[in-house]
Amino acid sequence: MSKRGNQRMATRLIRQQKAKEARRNRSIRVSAITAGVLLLVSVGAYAVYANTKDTAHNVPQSTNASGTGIVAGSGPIKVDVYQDYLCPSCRAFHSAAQERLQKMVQDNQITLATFPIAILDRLSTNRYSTRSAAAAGCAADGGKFAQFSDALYAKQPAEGGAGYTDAELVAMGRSAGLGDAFASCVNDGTYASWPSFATDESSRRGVTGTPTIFVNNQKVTPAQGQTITDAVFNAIAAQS
Amino acid sequence: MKAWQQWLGLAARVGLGAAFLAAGAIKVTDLAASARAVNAYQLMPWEMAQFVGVVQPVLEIGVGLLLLAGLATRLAASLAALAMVAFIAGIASAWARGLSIDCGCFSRGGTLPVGQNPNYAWDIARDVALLALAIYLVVFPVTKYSLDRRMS
Repeated sequence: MSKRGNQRMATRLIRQQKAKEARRNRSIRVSAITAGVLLLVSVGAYAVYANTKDTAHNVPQSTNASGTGIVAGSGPIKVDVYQDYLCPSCRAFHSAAQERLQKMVQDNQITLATFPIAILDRLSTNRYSTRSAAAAGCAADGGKFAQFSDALYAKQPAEGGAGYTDAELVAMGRSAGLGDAFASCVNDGTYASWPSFATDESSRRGVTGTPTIFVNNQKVTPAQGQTITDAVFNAIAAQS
Repeated sequence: MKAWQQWLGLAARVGLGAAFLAAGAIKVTDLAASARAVNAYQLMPWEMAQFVGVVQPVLEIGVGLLLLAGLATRLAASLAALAMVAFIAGIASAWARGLSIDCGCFSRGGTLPVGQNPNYAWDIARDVALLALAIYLVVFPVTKYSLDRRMS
């Protein structure tokens, strides 16, 4: 090959090399910018989430010290029930266990704390989990939490559709013996942001579904094939 | 690089990107539920679960869009591969500990009702397939119809 030919080839190689380097640099720059944007957007999203959380909420009467559950009785064994009024398993547990639990409250065997949390808002078109829990707080103020819970579970709406409106919740409260104070409590949304607070606190305690029951602070886990109701009463029996 | 590889790369990019975009979009509308889904794995305290639960769907959408556009493909595919490894490890650990949870992969997760059984094997198999797509794109990030190619 001639000298000139060699030179031309060298020039071409250098040009190719430079172009390759430029491509590489551009690709690194694009990746760096992209990574930066992803990081900013994530941190921004978390900041928005943390700042839009309801921090102020009212707490109903007869709640526990942390203001998250409605307490009945003062027996030596602590039974904590986390429930969502839209959850079918909660309804099953309620109808199977409620009568015996209330009897144990009256016999001063247990202190029953019921935590109406809202984890199923996506399964109704009108945030029934949150609104029913808020209404239950109003019922606690009227001293009829247990009766109102019975009424809600007796007519539990199906998952996926519209839950009861506030007006319907008021009507159910009235037939459970609650009055005008209850009606205005529901209509004013007095406890509207209480359920999300109670739900967050339940997550902190390790509640990841409903119903979740603690007996003397021990989470009850049913054995294979055992119902949650049997597991709960076994756990209570083991404590007494 | 052969031409068919770039077409294969396009298919991997669109498949993986669509999966990430869908997974993120389902979760991003209820970030509190997403945080609870992370919490259900019982691997970290609630404060951290909230952070992960909020950031994860946002990143999933970001990675999904990048893959669909073919922008910063190698970076996006690397993040996707890391995510899949973390998800597979998380599901395997839930399985090993006998937890009965919805994996929260394409849904909002949480504990399954009593009597309903988790399907961890299927979840892991799907995630392994997605991991394979991600690794392919990390190795061969040059694909048809990508912004990366238009810019170079």
